[in-house]
Amino acid sequence: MTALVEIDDLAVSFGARPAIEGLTLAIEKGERFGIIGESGSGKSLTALAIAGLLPETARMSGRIRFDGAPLPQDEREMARLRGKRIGMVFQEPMTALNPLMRVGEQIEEAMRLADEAAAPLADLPALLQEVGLEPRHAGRYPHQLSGGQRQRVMIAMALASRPELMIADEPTSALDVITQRLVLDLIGEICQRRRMTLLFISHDIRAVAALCERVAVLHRGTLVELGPVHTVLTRPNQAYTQKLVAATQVTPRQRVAAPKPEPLLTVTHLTRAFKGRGLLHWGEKPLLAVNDVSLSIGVGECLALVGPSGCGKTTLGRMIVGLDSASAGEMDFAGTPYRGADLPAARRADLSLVFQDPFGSFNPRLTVAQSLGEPLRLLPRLAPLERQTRLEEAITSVGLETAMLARYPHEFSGGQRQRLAIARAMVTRPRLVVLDEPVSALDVSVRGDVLDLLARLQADHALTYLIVSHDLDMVAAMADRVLVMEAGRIVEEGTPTALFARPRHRLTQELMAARLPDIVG
Amino acid sequence: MLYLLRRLAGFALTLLIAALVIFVLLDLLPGDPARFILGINASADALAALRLQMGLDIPAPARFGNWVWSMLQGDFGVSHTQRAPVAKLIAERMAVTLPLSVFAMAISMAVGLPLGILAARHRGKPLDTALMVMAQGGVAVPNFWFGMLLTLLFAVTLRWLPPGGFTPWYEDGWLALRGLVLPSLALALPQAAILARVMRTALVDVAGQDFIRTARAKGMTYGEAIWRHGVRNALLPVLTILGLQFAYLIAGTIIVENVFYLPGLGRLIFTAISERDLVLVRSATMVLVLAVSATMLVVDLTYALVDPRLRERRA
Amino acid sequence: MNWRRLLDHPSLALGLAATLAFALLGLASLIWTPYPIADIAISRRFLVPDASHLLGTDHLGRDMLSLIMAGTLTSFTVGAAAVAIGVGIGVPMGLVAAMWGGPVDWVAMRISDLAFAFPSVIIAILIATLIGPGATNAIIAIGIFNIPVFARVARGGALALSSLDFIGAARLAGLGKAAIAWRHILPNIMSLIIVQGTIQLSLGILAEAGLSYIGLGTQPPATSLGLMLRDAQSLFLIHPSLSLLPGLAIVLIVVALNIAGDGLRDALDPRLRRQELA
Repeated sequence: MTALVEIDDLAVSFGARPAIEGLTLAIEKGERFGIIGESGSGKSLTALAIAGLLPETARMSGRIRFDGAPLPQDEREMARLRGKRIGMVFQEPMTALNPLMRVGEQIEEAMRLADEAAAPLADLPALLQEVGLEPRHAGRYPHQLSGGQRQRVMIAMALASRPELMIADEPTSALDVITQRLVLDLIGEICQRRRMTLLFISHDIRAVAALCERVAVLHRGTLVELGPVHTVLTRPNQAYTQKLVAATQVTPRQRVAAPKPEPLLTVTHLTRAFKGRGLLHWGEKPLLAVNDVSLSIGVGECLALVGPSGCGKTTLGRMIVGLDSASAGEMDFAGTPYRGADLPAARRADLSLVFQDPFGSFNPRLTVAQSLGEPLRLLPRLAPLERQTRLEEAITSVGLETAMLARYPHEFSGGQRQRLAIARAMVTRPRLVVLDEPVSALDVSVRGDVLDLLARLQADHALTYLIVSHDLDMVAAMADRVLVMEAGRIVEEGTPTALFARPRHRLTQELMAARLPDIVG
Repeated sequence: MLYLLRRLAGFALTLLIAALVIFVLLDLLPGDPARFILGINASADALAALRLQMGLDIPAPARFGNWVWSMLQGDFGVSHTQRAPVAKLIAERMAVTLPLSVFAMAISMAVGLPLGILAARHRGKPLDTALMVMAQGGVAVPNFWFGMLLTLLFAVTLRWLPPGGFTPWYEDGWLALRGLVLPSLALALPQAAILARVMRTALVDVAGQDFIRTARAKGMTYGEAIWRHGVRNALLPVLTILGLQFAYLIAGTIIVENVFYLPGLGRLIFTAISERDLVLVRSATMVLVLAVSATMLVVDLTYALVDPRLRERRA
Repeated sequence: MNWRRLLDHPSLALGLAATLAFALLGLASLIWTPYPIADIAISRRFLVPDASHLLGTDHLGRDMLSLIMAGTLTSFTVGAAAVAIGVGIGVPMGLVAAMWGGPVDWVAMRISDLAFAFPSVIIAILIATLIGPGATNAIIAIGIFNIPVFARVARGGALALSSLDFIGAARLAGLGKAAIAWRHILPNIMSLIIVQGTIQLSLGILAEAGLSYIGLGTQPPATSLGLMLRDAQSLFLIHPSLSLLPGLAIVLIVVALNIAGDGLRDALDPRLRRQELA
């Protein structure tokens, strides 16, 4: 085999800050090569460097050869090389497509750029079919397609020039679980059929394991490990790779005390309808985000709500904590009936929510102490000294130091911020905590630590959890009971072991089928 | 379609409320408009006659309704001081003001947009810096003062163009056009500087977006990607600014007419103010408000034409 | 923002310094000008610049430097007062519209649309018809036009923030809408407002000049840069310097403000570049 891409001693830097250092690797013709790394590892920059698309502010040194020849220096020649021989698929299919142009035109444009003599009109339907779209989709604008369809358009565009190399940079991270799997399988199939070389870049080790033959692990701009996928992922040599691999296997935690059967929260026939506003929407059918849902959570239980994006699970969580109100139905929290936002202030301290995005959940202008102290307004009788004790207690309970209370949010990493978000949720000593995708915005290597922390806090403070998530593995490890939601309704219920071993509902079966296989050593 | 209806309804509502504001200011606040117009020395007979002419004997809400209704039929009332129908007076003056603002807008777009694109294409290079320094100066120049400078150079020193005054179109179209050259330039160049800056910012912003990278990945150079995919997207924010600019421009003509002694709407209004001709001021400001709102409407509709996302937005 | 960061942005430092210099020149006229500006002496008219009159004299024999100092003060005062009106009414309006949403938002935005339909010249015309021209007239006219500008900036900034989780966290902590606007939103849109403030200040100074030039703004015996241009109008073919000097003063002040504004935008928050367009 000969190498299609040879990277020799590549270094990329922004000003004085190095982003990639001393990277050397080769991608053989026809192989499927994966690059694994967390955010900031330089994996995307490597892809951009191969395609000659590095940002203007980046400085590059080292050599990259494509099919034996160095990359052309001339911008036009490099552009033609990209157009004819390299196809690229990016992470965010919404912003990667021109919003003002029909997708068919955008694909045809790629065909013309690759080969001026091409007859796009004849080839377009075949290409659309190959990526699983119908001819009618060509006339749509990007915003009229779903995320998965948009990504299929991107793939069609990358294939338009019949390239030798396809670079896919996190092609599925913006998609929901079921679509993710479909798109991954599509990329795999096409590469096999067309005997195309694939460079697949992802933070998701299991996706790389499922798709690639060889893998490179990148960490902070340097190559950590390189070799056949099976060897690297089942017998990792380096500590960093071992940590990454370990993080993909969430170990089920041991329950100390079994949950008591008496309910802490009961939800009866809850419905949330969203209506279009104004006269023009009069008479339209309202959208039922949550449709006649009933459930109950026992004291000390950990209940999980899973489902694809848009199924209403977040809306349900928001009503439970009182951020939104139900259109019909009722909830009862420890004897207090409410419909959402009307939850009495005295009760609010017993309920809290941990938000998904650790970067948006803190006001950048307030110190950590100010932000953590905010929920203490719900306990007006707290003495100032007691307030301070509560803050210190909360921040140490999540494994951070009291000195950090005086700092501002931008001084913390994503994992630390999520710990702070948990501390804020704990400061009023609540009984029920709703966790909305508590780890999905975090890097893989810190997810395990945060989950351990959540499990420990639950044991220490006899907390009741409601986890809202799409991550089946995390749910399987954490939850006592799982509810599966689709289009506003709960469609299946059970313990994780029973439910995932024998899914009965179509959605649960699809979710299970979309799960990528574990890495087995 | 739905969008069009909504926007038209909004346009009509804005105009109606604007008419109400003007009516309250100029018809109700002065107390007795007839006395306001004629002054304290007016005879009782003259007052009574004017009151009757202005319809002051009927209640205010009905008067407002009548005013709006007759405006819709093209009747703007009769000017007491000029002793002529207001519609005719305004139409005469629009023959100067309208071409002036349209020329100025056309020149500012023809100069500003290409320069903005040029600067964005050469971002960070000397050409960009030079253009943006010029634009920074252009933005700061008051248009009427710029008009004075232009007169000094082209009319007094070089004697290429008339320093001021206006020959009506029906007498000599060529002379009329020549008379509008300097005023149009005076209005247009500061606007062009603003447009160049906005166009550059918008394009630089679009250049950083993912779909430009996609276009380059398809085989385009940076320049080709900007031209094929960037400019059209960058025009969206520019359109919004364009609408506002045209509104400023209409206001600007009133000021610049003064420099060149042009018989436009502005001078009609100033005469009306000094002679306390409420009827004339009322209708003339309504025409100006109509022009500004109509511009914004056209901008919004163009926006919807360019952006498919807006066409379908329902709420 | 501290002084060290100011030095990282030389254009900001330059723009601020120049703006400050002009503002001080204007303020100084309150205490001292080379000659009283009301001092009319026909015998000294049209003097060319010399040691006693650094910038010469005008058609009434008044000292040009003194006039420009006083005129600069008028320009800044009118511009700043108009910005104060715009911020004072527009920002709360925008915040209320964003926080309460629904019909409140609709009404606030229609009011702002309406105000956009009245460029300051039109408002000045209306006020001048009613109560006659004057500097207050200019302040109100420009101020009213500033209101929707600040309302939109505040509303846009607040809407962009309101989807962030810390606003949700504050609601969970039992804060009301007004408290959230004050504690969580206002501090985070302050930089947007400051940058817009410098832009509107420079636009206000230009607008004041225009209004005074057509006789709807500042009236004699007070003076402003625009009024000086009005006085010079009939003479400028014979004595161009009478119109060149005040015009140049306007250009320099506005350029200084714009450079400061651009620098401020880059220095305060690089993200503003994007938000400003949205």
